[in-house]
Amino acid sequence: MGLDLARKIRFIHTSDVHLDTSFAGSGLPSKIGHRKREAIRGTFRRILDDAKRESVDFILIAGDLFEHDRITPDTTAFLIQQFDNLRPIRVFIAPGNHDPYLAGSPYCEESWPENVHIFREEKFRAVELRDLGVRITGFGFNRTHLAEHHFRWLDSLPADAVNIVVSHGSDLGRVPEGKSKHGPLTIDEIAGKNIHYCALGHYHQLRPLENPIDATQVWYCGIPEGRGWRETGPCSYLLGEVEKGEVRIQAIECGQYPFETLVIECDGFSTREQIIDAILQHRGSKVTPRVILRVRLTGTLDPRVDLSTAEMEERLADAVLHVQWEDRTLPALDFEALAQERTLCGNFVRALNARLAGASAQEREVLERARLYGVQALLGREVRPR
Amino acid sequence: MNLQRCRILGFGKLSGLELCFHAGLNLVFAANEAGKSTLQQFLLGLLFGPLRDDVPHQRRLEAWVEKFTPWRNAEYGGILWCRLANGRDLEIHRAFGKEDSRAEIRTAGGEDITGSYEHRKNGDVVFAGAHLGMTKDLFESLAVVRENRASDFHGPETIRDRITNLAQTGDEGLSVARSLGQLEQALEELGSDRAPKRPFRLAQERVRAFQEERRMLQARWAEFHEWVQERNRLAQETEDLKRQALDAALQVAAARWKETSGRVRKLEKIEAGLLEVRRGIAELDGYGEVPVDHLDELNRLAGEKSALELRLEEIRAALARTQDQLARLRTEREKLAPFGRLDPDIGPEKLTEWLVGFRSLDDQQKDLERRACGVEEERGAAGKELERLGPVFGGQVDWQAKVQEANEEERAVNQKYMDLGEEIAAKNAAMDEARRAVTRGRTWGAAGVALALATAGGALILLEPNPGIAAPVYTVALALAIGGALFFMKASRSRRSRERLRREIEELKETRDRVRQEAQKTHFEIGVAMASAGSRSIEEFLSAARRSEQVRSRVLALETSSRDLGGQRDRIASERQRLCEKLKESLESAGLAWSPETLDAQVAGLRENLRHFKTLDQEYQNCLQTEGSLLEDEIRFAEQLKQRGARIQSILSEGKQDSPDSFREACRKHRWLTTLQEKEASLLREYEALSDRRPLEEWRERLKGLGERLPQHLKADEAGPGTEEAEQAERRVAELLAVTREKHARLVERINQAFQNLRTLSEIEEDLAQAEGNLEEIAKNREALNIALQTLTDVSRQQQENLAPQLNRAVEQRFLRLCGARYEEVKIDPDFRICVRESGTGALRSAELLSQGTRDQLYFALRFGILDLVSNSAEPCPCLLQIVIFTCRDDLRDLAHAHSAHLVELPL
Repeated sequence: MGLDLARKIRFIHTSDVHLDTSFAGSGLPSKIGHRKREAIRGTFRRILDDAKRESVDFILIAGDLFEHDRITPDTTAFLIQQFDNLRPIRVFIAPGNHDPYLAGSPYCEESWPENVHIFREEKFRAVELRDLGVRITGFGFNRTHLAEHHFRWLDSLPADAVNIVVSHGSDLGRVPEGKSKHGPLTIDEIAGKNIHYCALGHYHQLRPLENPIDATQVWYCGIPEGRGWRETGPCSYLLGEVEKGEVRIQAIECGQYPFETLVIECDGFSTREQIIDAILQHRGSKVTPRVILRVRLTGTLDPRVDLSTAEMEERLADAVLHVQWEDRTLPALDFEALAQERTLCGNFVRALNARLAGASAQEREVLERARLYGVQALLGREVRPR
Repeated sequence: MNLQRCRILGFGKLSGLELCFHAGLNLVFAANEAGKSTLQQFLLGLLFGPLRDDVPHQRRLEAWVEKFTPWRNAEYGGILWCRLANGRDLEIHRAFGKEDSRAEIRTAGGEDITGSYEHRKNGDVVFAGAHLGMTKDLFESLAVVRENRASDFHGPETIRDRITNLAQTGDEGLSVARSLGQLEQALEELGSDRAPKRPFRLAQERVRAFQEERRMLQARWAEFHEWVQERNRLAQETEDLKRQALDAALQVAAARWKETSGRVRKLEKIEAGLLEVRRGIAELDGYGEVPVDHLDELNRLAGEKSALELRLEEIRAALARTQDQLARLRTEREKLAPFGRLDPDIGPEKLTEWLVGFRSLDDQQKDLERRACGVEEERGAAGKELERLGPVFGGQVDWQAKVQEANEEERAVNQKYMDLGEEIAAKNAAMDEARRAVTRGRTWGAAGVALALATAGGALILLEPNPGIAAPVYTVALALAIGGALFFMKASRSRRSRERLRREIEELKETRDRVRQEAQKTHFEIGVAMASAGSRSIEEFLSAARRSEQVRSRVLALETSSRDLGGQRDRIASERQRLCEKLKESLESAGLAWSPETLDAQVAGLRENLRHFKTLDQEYQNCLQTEGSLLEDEIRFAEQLKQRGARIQSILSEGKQDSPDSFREACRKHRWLTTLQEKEASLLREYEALSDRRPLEEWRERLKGLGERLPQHLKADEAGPGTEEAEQAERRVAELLAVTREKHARLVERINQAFQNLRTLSEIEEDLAQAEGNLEEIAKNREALNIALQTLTDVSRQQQENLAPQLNRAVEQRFLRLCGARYEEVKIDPDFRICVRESGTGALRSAELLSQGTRDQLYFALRFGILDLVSNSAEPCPCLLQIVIFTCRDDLRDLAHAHSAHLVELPL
């Protein structure tokens, strides 16, 4: 195989689709979770449609195409059908930590179309695309956690073709907060092995790995559809071109229902309409009918304000797809001043303050509520549990 | 803190006004609508500022700020001068503008010390709170009395509740009990796991329902994976079976080829066989007419003839032996001829029986004679004993019964005698009574008659001249006479009765004597018998009677026994005689003489010879019988032999053969010919069956065709299955394939339907997370409310226990000063029940029983007492009271003077 190719090679790089994922951790109700899952399918279908429209030669899926524990037979059938429709475009799948190649995995099905290649082993295996002069080398996870630096097992590739590598892995150079490290890697384990492009998956943000060693381009393609409140940025996949040994990468934005978080300072608010107005002021930026919105209320809330979220949700029904409330307001009570009083209320606050002093975080939450409810009752106000 | 003076720049209707206050009580008075309440709010505003205390992070104005905007265009605010307990003078400057609510605190020297006070986020400067140690709300509740609340005291519960509230919360309107109630209500609304319709339980059930749904889904997943594995296995099995079906089809073809090949070979073999058989048939031509049906008969007859010849020889030999034996027996029998004269029924056994019977009867006869002598001796002894006992016991009298009868009769006579004695005694008593009645009747009768005579005589003599008086006297005399007569009649009746009784007594006595005599008669008879027997007592007599009875019975028994023995002896003698006659007769028949001494030896010899004779005789008879039988057999078998020979000759003539052997050979050839003909027919049938009515050439063509499609190794495989077996195997594989395909199809359908009507795991997890979150929130709120309730209860109880004695002292001190000497003690218990003790009587009176005025005093004492307890003890708290007093100005001056108060007048 020689590098002087008659035509450009075009491909799509995507990963972390997480079909059939659960949004329980994000606190979404099943109705919205279902819509979001449908959106993930829709976005993935759109990527495949783009592949046909752009006449790409192959698609690289760098892991976490679906969630092993949750994938339904319907989704498996959906994937098989979509990939079948994609022919003759070839699909290369490198299973990740969420969709490892295990017994019982849909990857074990024998009905995958011929244009789909699944890297089934925890070894780098190469597929030669002789018609394109491309060698695609992939690595498949066989377990839900891979602690080894698997890129160290990758030998230098022959320079007789365009070498593309696809795998799931965690760049130790920049680990996002709270992200687990499956298949750890560093750039020096990839560079210097005659690789033209390395398609990675696992981190959900679109970004290249800085490579000071050689011209190998290493990319995380981003997530096509956000999965939680921490993934509020733009969602994307990558469209790549290889021409005369040069790789050009273009990020394509996608995603249907983004997650957004709004922080509303409630100081000075005396009605819930003011809260709704404050949310709607963001129209044009974060608030759209397709957004899944988290509203975090902070500051000191006038005790007379009735924070009935159901009614506010009804008011916001046309503005956003779903709103999730996070009440972090402080009660408009000066517990310090109350603690100075030589009254029963003062004694009560002091007693609970004493318990709060030595309490754990979890106990604190309960004790603070107890203090609030007790003071509300002692001041003749309505006791309104949160 | 003492308020010194104030300057009102602008506050409601008041503006440009400066008022001075004094230490102690200041009475601010004015006409209606002059601004007294406005002044009170102004002072409150200067002390605590215009911003809301409950939202310290926001600049929110109190509601009064809008209300007390200056009427005239004056600056909204003012200045208050006050002196602290430590003697320090301070100035508070405040502006109450809507946008600008400044506060400034200066010393008397004009130094701005505002910065030394706490500043809240909303800009408020905490001045009064810092000095007085209480919030604005608390100050308003305790130190500002806007009306006379004491008049609201209605009953013990109201008083106690208000004191409790005031003491604990600083506000009468706030109730600890109500607060606890609110918390309990909130807890109740959340519910528990025992309240099925409350949020807590509902949330628990929701969580459980989702967990169950998840469990079911996971179980279905496990099943699903098994089904998928099974489906894959079945798919593999289907492929294997398809391969097996192909193999089976080849095996069938191979089997058919082999079968056809075999058929062709067999057909060729049959053709060769037919040729050979037909050649054999041609060689045996001419043997078809032999009467083979007679072969069996001929063989049977030949066999019978030989057997008869052999049998005849045997019979003749046996006949010769029998005749020899007969001659020998006849000679021996004649030697024992005398013993043959005996009765044929008498055998040796009979002789032995007679001899044994004769000897036995002889012995029995002797024994009976011995026993008869013994019985006679015993009977003689019994007769002697009867004579010894006496003749009185010789009759038929049963003395035992007689004595018993006499005793019973005596007991009955005694009883009757006693009864008669009692009856006689009763009759004697009745006779005595009758005798006394006769005497009485005669006495009273004589007296009556005597009196009548005397009365009549007297009257006749003395009352003659006066007949009017005499008549009644005569009447009396007549009555007395009648009475006397009646007594006499009664006496007469009694006498007759006495006579009758006397006769009856006599009769009874006679009867009694007769009874006694009758009883004595039997005893006399027994006594005579005893005397005759010589018995000294009745017991001895009765013993002798019993003995005689026994002896008499024994004698009777012995007589009976003697008679029986005689009978037996006669019978035995007769039988012995009969046997003796028989034995004698038998001996005489055999020529032997009768001799009792040698009887046993003679009978033994007779018996032995008789036995020998009988044996010889029997043997002789048998030989005679055998000889006859053999002669008959000889004649019969000779006849049969002749018949068989004639029949054999007839058969040989029919078959044109001269001997049985040549006949048999002809028959054998005839049979071989038949066998060959049958074999030919069988081969023909086999050929037809094998060829299926097709020529051999056609089969050869077919074999060639089958062989062309078949691999060579299968042709060479001799161990392969037959056609039927191969076809069965093919059918079996086809059936298995069909079953496996059906199973596979069913499983595929099941897999396709596996998750129908089930939600996805993600959906369930999402709902479960929501439900768990909700449950956790409710659980936290429940826990928080429980903690709040418990803490509030504990703190309240503790505070009540601590506060009650302190409050008691503070209230008592003030109340006793206010009421003069009317009461001497105040008692407040830990439950805040309040009582006062009267000075004169020493009686304790409950607060609700006090007069209205006293209750007012008590109320103020309580308010101030609580204020003392709640406020900063180092800094006295100013109080703003609003009391309605209906009086004129002069009276007000007098009142102020009387209470050492200062009057402050507000100008209109």
